[in-house]
Amino acid sequence: MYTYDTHDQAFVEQRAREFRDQVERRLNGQLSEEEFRPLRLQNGLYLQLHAYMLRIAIPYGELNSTQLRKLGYIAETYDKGYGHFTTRQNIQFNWPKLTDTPDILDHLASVQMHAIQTSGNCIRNVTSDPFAGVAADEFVDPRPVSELLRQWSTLHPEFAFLPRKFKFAVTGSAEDRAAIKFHDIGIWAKVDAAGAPVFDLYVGGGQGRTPRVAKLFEAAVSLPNLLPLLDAMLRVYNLHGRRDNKYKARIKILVEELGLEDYRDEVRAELAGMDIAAFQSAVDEYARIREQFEDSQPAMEPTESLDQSALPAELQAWISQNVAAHRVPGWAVVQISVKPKGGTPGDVTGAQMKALADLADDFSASALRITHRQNVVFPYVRAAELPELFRGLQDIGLAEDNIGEASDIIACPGLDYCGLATARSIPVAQELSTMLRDREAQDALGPITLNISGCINACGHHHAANIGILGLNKAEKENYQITLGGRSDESAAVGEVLGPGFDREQVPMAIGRVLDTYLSLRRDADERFPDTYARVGKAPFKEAVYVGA
Amino acid sequence: MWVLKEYGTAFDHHEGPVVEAGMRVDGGEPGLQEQSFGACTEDCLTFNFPSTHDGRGFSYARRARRERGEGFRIIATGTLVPDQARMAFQCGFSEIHLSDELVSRHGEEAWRSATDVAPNQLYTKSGKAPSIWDERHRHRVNIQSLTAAEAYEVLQDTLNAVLLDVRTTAEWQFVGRPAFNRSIGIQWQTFPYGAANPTFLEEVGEAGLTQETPIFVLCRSGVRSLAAAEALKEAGYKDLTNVSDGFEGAKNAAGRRGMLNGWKAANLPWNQD
Repeated sequence: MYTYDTHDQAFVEQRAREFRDQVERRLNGQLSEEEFRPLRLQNGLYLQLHAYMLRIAIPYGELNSTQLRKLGYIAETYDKGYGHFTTRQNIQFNWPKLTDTPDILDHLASVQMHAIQTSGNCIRNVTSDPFAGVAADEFVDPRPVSELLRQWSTLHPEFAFLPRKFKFAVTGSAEDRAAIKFHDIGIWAKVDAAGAPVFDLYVGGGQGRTPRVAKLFEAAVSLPNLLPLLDAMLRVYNLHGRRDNKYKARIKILVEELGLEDYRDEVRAELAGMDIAAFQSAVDEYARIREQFEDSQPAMEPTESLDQSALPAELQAWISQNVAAHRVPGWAVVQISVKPKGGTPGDVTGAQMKALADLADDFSASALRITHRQNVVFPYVRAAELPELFRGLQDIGLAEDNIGEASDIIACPGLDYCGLATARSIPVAQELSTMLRDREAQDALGPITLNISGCINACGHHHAANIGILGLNKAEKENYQITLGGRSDESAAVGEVLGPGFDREQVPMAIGRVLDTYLSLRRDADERFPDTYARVGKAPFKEAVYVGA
Repeated sequence: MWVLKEYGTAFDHHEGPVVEAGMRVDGGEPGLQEQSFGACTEDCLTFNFPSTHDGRGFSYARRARRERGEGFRIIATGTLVPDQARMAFQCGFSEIHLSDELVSRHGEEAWRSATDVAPNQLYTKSGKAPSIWDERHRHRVNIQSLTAAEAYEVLQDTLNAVLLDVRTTAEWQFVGRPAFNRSIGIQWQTFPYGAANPTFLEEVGEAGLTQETPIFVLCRSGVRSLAAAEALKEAGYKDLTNVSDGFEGAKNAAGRRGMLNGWKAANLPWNQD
């Protein structure tokens, strides 16, 4: 992974000191709450329903065991003993005190972490493929360019007060596991004929109340041109993006209102006047960063794969469900489900964090990843050690074998924590995960995504799910709308609203009927939900849910 | 009004209210058309910040500074907080004009020290502070760079020169090491997880190298060795050469090292433990 040098270290320490000063000025009244708000948000600090919430950046989802142990310490010292992995590969703590946050930032800086730009109308933490560097289908490791973007965007003086938040995602594989087309700018890294990295840029994707799939802005952008182009794209957005209505302020609306062609023309005009040479050091920096990632990969010699025939059935089931293909034979990418039956998606206790850190030391070269589906990945596991790792995970209650299944639910914190939410998400997720966990084996549903958001802002990514659930408030009552057919992979699509919403008690019934309809209509066991949905359309689902049974 | 000059070089009170000078651009209304500032005939430009949340002025300043060059006055006014002073100067503003009310509420001290508290040095070049990237990659220019073949020739002729191999123990064992009598091995990163070797400089000292010793630093392909050479430079070592293609060199089209360039490919002597 990327290791800080003295510059990076001095930078986060000074940033932590700056925030301490901002908190002091707020507490003695020099800063009004209105003025303090963007400053605290740019350090990941939200004021929620019951308390402050601190969101900590896990750049492109990668962290080491020392960092996770520190997060466990923060959970136990400053929170109620747990943390919550988010849909943007970050972690948030829901109960810190304002006056404690400067100390928490110092703790983070001591392990090369920060909370910079995890919120606010600025460039947010860059997300990426949780299998980066080990995926069997990878063209280019997306982490070096992600780290380059992290450095470029950190405290960028021009883009800290954009019309609205701005999210980048990067992938470098054939399969898009980073949902790049649902981001403001999505970057698909590939290699050209000479082996040099090139980047396809997609712009204007997003979720929220106006879900959009990003459009191709430019293909095969070379490394020297990448940052100048992004700089110009952001400048045009900063100057022209709407500021009169926060619901129309994302770049997706600007691109739609101007039209992709006109937006592109504006960007090219801007680029023509810029001094590209000023970005020359980015090319050297990319080389430095990439070499760091290469050199810190553990040496992985191809070895024998694990003979599974003699293994207990539960272990075989866990391996077939949770282990993904590694680029080196005999090695495994292990996905650890943070979706226990009836549990809160993404919640991990401080004790579990520390235990996971120990397991990462023993089995994964001390390296871990957080996924946007709120799970954990061990990227460097010897297949021969899978049985031992499984036992270790069983001991801490994280051996659930449901990765990619319906019960592997994404859910936002919802009305239990969030000041924006219009309905609860967690109880719905808990109830559904209990029901679905019981069905999964007998129905042989196969891979399917089910995501829940507690409001129109769509932090639970419901638009991008095969089956999405959106919690609304209708006449002072929680009401849940179902969307079908969304997907976040390279064939990204926005889910369609099925029909009128349901009371909370009716949601499991409705989801059950949707799944029954899929099982009865799919061509064979290999036809995935969005493909069946695209083939048969909404009507049979609608009939089954609203008329049927 | 108060005037804060670039990076807090001056902070003075002037009698009377804020006066807008030169051509004024108000970011207040949405959908403001694109503007070019190259042709404006005024001797300065004023950008108004209608609220703390509206960052358009930063992009205007960047564009105006680019079009008008250094020395031209670009003034920020309106509603700013001290924390935005850093951003304003880094984007190209030369002055911030503040109302008495803004200064008394935030306190003179907060404005005076605004640019000292914030990290002034960013990764990319923004304003006058040197950027971290430029600094990182400027160091390299001062360290000599030679290919393995060139380095070997100089090493043979320079009797006090030392070849410092900073690869890992695993690489020495499995990939091989140069057969050269004045070579020593000290890991820059440790096997197997690539963590920085915390005692690198100490070990170099213990190996008897002085600040005057000509040191040729070698790794797999010239990147770690450059980082090690930079650390040595900062620690005061004066005669440093980076072996630019390292022991194994770059990958060839088939993704294999050891064929294209580097110590091995140059057919220089090496052996394996």
